[in-house]
Amino acid sequence: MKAQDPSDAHRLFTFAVIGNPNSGKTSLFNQLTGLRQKTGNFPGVTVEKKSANIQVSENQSITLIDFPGTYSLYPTAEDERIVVQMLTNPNNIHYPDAIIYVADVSRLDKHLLLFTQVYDLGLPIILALNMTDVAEKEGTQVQTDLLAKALQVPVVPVSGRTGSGLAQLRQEMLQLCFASDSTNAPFYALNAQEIELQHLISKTFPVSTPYQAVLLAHHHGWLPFLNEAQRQQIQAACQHVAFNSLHHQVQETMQRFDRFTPIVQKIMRKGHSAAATLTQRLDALLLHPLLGLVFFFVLMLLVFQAIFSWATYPMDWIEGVFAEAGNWAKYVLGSGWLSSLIADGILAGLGGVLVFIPQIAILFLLISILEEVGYMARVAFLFDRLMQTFGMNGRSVVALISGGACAIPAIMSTRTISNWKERLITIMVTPMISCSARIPVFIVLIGFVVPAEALYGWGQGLAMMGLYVLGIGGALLSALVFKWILKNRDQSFLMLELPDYRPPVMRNVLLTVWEKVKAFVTEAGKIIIIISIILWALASYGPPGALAQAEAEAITYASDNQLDTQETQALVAARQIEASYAGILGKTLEPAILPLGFDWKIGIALITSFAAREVFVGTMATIYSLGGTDDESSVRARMAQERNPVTGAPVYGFATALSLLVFYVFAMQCMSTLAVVKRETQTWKWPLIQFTFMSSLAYLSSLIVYQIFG
Amino acid sequence: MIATSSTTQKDKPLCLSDDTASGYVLGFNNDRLGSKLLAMGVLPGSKVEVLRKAPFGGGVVLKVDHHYLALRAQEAACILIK
Repeated sequence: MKAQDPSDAHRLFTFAVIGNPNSGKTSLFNQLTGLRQKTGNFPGVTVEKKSANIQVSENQSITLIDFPGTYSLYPTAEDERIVVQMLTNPNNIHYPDAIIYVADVSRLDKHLLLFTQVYDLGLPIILALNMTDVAEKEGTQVQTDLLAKALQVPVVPVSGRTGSGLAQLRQEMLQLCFASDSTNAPFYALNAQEIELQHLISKTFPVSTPYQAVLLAHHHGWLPFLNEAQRQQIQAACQHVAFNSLHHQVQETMQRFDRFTPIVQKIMRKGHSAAATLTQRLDALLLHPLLGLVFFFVLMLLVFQAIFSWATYPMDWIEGVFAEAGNWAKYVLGSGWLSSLIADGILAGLGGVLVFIPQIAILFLLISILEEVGYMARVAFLFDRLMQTFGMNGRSVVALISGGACAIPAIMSTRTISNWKERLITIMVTPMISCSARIPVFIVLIGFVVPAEALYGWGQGLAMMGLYVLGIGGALLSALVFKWILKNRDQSFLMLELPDYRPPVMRNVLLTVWEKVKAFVTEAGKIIIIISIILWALASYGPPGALAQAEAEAITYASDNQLDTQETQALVAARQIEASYAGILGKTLEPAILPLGFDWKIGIALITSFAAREVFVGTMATIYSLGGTDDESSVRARMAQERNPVTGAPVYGFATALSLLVFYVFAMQCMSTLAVVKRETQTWKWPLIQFTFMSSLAYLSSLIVYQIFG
Repeated sequence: MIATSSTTQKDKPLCLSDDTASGYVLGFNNDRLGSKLLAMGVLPGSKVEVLRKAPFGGGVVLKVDHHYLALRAQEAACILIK
């Protein structure tokens, strides 16, 4: 991401946007930047970084960086640590020249703590009082001029919702670009011990303010920009003055509150909040131990239905367009490797990427509305205890449920989980929840396990449900295993503010949708297209001459048996895939999958299914010379006729079909999911672990099933 | 232990079995949780009250002054009130 970083090209004046969670910081950032924002990660971590270049006057443009929300400079999670890391290291490329501090005016009595801490780092700062439009309607009065005087900083009332006050904010930003450095007295008065400590530290590490030295003392254990020598020197300084970090943190926090609370009381008169009253009424229902759960599941049913069924229309359309484009390319380019590469490799891969856009867009449209409204914080609270048992976060419930439609948007939605371990476990187990791509496979195979008339016609439905339960059970049990194995980087907290319910700001919602779709297409898309070209090559090429020989044999066989053109083409395709590298791989795999009850033909389908699980049906159609059809019932009819050449028994007997079903429940056969996991965890390590553990689990389960029933 | 006044017999952990528990914060009996609660605005002297409980034996919603906080049971249990 570094090359795209606007601050790298030529260093502009940089403003950091800082504030508490729920201060409306992101709304304000979106108002200031719109579609100009670039999304990436802070270096070395998976914490999202949004930045943008904006014009504050005709010839002055600045870089704006949205920092993660935090309550103080004493972090307890990775995203909060980024703020401290960036603000205590003037050599960092993201070290800002100035700060826009965003505070929710209705919670000014809490939101000024972080303000005073940042203020003591000596950077020029503008205090943006957000949500003033709402506060004014409720009759809240704030004397901003008095506040500005008391805090010695420019104070601008703004609204991230309506955009009011932005002109004034830009004006203040422009002025700060030319202002001399602030010489204000620090807000917090260091005590004697801290003064001595700060002297010791500033001798070895150049600091710009005394408070910066105090923060280095508190956080020297983890700050990544300190080298070992510096760390030891700071450590020695701390020991010299017998510095107790926690004790000093508490003293400092109390002194800050003691100093700004009277200021807030003096400049502000609170009105009556109608939203707060409404919020309490709604929460009586939405947080009710029973009704709250019912409401949640009804809501999730709607979300699930939306991704599951509304998305099929645009998805079918995208598939149709790419199929047409492929045919057209073959028609124009004739038959040859180039037209096959373009039609079956590149266009198919591109279609395979774009086909996920409707699901991603719909899921993020709905969950970012729920996030904006303030409901997601309630979900995190409702399911905290249950999900803690499995090492996950209350918010994981939403990812797990969405995983029932498609794991890709579900995994992308875990970004709001700030505890790394809880987020990682959610990412690792979500693909075990049966997604919509498994349904065609289940439909084809389930008839071999349970006859349609079993249990008065309910048998197949129950078996289908059993497969879903198996996936959910597998996900939860795997979560327990990961909970036990993975180390916790941070203590896990719930400690969550429950903000008042508010109507969503559609600008924020749509920006989220746009950004998620863009991230998927540009980052995961590359990997998906490369893998689909590899899969295409495996299925279209074989050892020199092998495919031509297979074709010749098929044609000879066809003319001997007087097959018509269509039947001949289907036979040629079947013999060619058998002779291809995929076929060879399937046959090589046969000894390994024979104990699961699979022959080499199933082996080929397992390989091609890696593109997407539903490809199983199409591959079966090709292998059994059904031509271009991937109609599930004709594939099933043909599979039912298949006999074992040695024993004469049906190939798809009860045991093989059940074993194959179980395999598809657990196996990681989705390159797109792996590509997204790589994107979300910033390393190949986790997708590889995920692939290995899911494949091993699938293999073992199928082995057990086949050995018991086979 | 973080406390602003000396600990007396009257200090008791915020009682979660009582649905209407309420009182004024004295301090915290767990430093790590206490420091995070302080940063979130649960200060000695703040008025706290238990409003709701989560299902599955989970956390509680506290009203702290004019704000609402969701805490795990063990997080809330570290708040000492009178």
